[in-house]
Amino acid sequence: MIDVDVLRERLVGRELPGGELRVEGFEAWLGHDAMRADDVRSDVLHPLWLFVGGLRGMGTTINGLIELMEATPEDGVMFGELSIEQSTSMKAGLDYQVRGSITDVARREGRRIGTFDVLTFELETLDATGGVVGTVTSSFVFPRRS
Amino acid sequence: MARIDIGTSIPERTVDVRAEHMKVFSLLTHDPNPIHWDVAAVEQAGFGDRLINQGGLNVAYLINALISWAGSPDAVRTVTVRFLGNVFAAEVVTAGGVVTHVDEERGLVELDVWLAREDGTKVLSGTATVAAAP
Repeated sequence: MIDVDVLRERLVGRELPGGELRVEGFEAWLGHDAMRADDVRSDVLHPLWLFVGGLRGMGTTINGLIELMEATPEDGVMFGELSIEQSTSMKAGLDYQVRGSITDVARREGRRIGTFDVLTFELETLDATGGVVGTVTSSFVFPRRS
Repeated sequence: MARIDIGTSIPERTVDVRAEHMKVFSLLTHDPNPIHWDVAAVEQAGFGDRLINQGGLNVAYLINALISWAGSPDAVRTVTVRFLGNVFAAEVVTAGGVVTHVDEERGLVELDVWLAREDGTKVLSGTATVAAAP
């Protein structure tokens, strides 16, 4: 099992590549249909798009984050917590920037899964003026079997 | 929005979880995890024979209840949740919430929120802040 202090030294504070984000109108429609968001049927995006868009624009993938943690998808990586802060609604057809960083790596013990690590990362979505429209903090749980 | 007091419950929203929505969401989020679109992968992982819903979609159901209550996606200011369990295709889940604090000066309402299975088991639990209607 990798030393968590090594992981912390290596990852905490690391900036993610980031990138551009644009949600087209048809993607918004399909996304809102999948979210069962019957009350959201305009160019205003559901707040969950801050999370979805953040993942799309962060410049890496979930698998990329899993590799950084020296784990594999087969290890049973799970969602831990999710926090969404929305300053302004995103809109379909507009350009945004995503920037993010890894904010924490911690090792814990659980009764059910034993030793596990928690990776926490934060993604900010910015509009064309550089204003932050929302911030998403996510944590993933990595079971560590010896 | 009617008068808001501490203890006010928001109208619950019930969702029948469908595989077709998981598949679209996998594409939109570039999520390669096959447990959301390939039953064989779920079986191989030992989770049974039904697709597992994305955690993000579960959160969306919860936010939908807030949007319906507050009247607009803009009104949702914060949502913080902990993931407590998986939701499978063909399950029925219900989102709900109860007001815990009213900040009249800032026009904000804080709530405890959750998403639960039919037997009442919570799969999401957390807090939210929404802007109250003027």
